[in-house]
Amino acid sequence: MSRRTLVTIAVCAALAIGTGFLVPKALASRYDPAVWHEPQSVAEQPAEETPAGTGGQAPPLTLVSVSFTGEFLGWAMRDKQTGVTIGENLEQTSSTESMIKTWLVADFLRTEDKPTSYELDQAEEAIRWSDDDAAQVLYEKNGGDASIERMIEMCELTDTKVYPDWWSRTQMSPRDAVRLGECIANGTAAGPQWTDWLVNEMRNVAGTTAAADQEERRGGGRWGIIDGVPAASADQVAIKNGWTSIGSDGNWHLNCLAFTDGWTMAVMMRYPDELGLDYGAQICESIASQLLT
Amino acid sequence: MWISWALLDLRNGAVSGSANQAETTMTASMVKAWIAADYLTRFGMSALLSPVIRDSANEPAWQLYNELGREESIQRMIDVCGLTDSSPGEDLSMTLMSARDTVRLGRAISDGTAAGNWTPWLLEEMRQVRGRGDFGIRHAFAPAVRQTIAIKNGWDKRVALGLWNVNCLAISKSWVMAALTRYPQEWALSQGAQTCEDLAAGITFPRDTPDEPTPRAAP
Repeated sequence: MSRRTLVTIAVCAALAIGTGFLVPKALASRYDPAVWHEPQSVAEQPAEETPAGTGGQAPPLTLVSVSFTGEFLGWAMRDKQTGVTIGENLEQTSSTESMIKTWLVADFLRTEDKPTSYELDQAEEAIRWSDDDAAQVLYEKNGGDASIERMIEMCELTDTKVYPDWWSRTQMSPRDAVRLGECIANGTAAGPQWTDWLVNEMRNVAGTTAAADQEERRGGGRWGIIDGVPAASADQVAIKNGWTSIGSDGNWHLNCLAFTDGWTMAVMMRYPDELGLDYGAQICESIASQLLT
Repeated sequence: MWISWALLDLRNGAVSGSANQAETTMTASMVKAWIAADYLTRFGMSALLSPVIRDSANEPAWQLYNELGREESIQRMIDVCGLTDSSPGEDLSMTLMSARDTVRLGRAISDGTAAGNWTPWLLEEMRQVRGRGDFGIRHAFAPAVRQTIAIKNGWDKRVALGLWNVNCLAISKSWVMAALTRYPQEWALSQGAQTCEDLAAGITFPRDTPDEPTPRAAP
């Protein structure tokens, strides 16, 4: 069965060298020649950003290896110092699920002069507890599909497609998810007044994968990439995950988006329902851990 | 646990049920059966309808509810189906219905009053309900019969109120059954689902022919 194929991802990536706090491990590595599985992802890398320190030596290499059972796994990470994006299947799309609530909140706050305290509560619930009802309220106030179109335009997404009247089914690629994260972090999405507020909400996402934290239309979303980051740094990581077990294809559609001042990362996947929520959370954690620590 | 149920015999229109069958409760997703019927008769087919019934998908249901005028759609349900206890709620899932009104809705769907020419399509979608929302009344029947029974259940944990709403609507060729429950949020969804099933297992259903659905032995 095609969707049960075992996918082992081995990505060898040539990268610039970074140093300092929470610099992706990949960027600090120096090994042997790199093979790009996604040549288009290096298009963003200007020639002048080739690490000076490598001289005539072979570029560095990193390896992400994940044992994954499911029909789709893609991820992308962009280093903010170099502008380099690495990843696997990073141009293929899957449904965003709740990950897109970041945009719904950003789009609302940027365009609303004076949000009411009720509206701010809705925005907070949509991020911290991934509240579907709250997100729907904002989606409708944003004009529905028009809001998703604005996201594609303002955040310069290249793979993302609107799903009419259904925000969680917006089709997005991992590299577009990274662009969305950057669009939030650089203030384009939420504007000068609300970006800090939104990023702070994303740093304070609450709740676990435990059944007690998962309700019908809201649930705990503090898991995944943030668990793969060194614990001391976790409070600097802004996140928004998306997760739905979808009846029509029997799959979990699970996504993780996270960024810090140094990097932005997205992991997106679809895998059989019976594997459970924790399975996907651990895939996100594993990829982040391999890239960052 | 608050439990209310009703059974409507489609052969003669007789309604039986619990003493509290006129008491209302929040429908949760059960009312999506009406939303689909109302949309089909007013606007025709939409790609959003099938997932609203089969998977009880929320976002498309909210979209359809908006397009239908929200409370105006619920008022049409009350008028078209001849409901006596029901009323619109703050949102779709908070629509208030009684067990006897729920079987009246089921009758209107069954006899074409609700969905007109779209009735066979809607009933088939309700037979195709899958995943988490496939529980309750029809699971009291053997698998071969189960797949002939159209259902739309509703389940919602309301944290603000500290309780679960778990409701079951089932439509067979010769009967309609509603089972409605409310209970503390700390309990499992399966408690309500099992209550629907147990109520069905304990009922003597109308039978037209030897082929008509018969529940498995009562527990």
